[in-house]
Amino acid sequence: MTFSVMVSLLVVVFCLIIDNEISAIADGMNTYFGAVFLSAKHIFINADTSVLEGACPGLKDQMLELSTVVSYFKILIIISGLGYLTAILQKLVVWRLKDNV
Amino acid sequence: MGRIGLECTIVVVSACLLILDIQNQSNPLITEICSEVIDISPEETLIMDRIYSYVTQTSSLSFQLLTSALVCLYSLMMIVMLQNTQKLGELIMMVNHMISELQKFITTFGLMIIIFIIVGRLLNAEFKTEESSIFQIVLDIFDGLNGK
Repeated sequence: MTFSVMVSLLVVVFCLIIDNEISAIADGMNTYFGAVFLSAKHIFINADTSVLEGACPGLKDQMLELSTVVSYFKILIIISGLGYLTAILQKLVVWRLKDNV
Repeated sequence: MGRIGLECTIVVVSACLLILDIQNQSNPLITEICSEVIDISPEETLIMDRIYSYVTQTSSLSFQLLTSALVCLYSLMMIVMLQNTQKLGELIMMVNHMISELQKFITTFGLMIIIFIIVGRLLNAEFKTEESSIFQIVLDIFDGLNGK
């Protein structure tokens, strides 16, 4: 049970880190483009080259960082999902066989 | 029964997240524009395209929605598991008791506290120009409440 709580807590922490990373990307772009970057794509498309030279390196680093976090998150979700699937199967077997072995 | 339902939901949402990952969606907006000013390797292009598609998805089954759902479900699961333990159950009961006592305290003294804060802030903003001792401040607030 303690292990399950720890895994759940870890998942929540990873989600918070992902949220923080996405917010950091949006904030970083807002300082360069002065607009809501994720919804106003035309500003990015029509941006001047000097602005892009300032914005793109940071954006690239942040996106790669986010990708690392997301990859770890996916591994955690797979392992955790398999654990819960096993728990469900165990309960079904106990219920079907009426045996608490 | 409720716990099995919660576990089933977690498995289904996790599966949806994996299906979303297998679909291999990509949005090349960032890499197409940024490749004009910086060097981006093909591997980095793939990663950035996928991550940008995750961030900007607006469909009903988006990465953000699934992640939020997972946070809610795992938080519920933690609460369910923690409620099962006797020791933590007592602690939760104690916290509930403390909350009810705090509510009683705020119901009784809340208006007085709010008035003290408002009068104190008004005094500080309008009348106080030099530093005073705490006793003097309390005295001023008391006088303010009494209309002196």
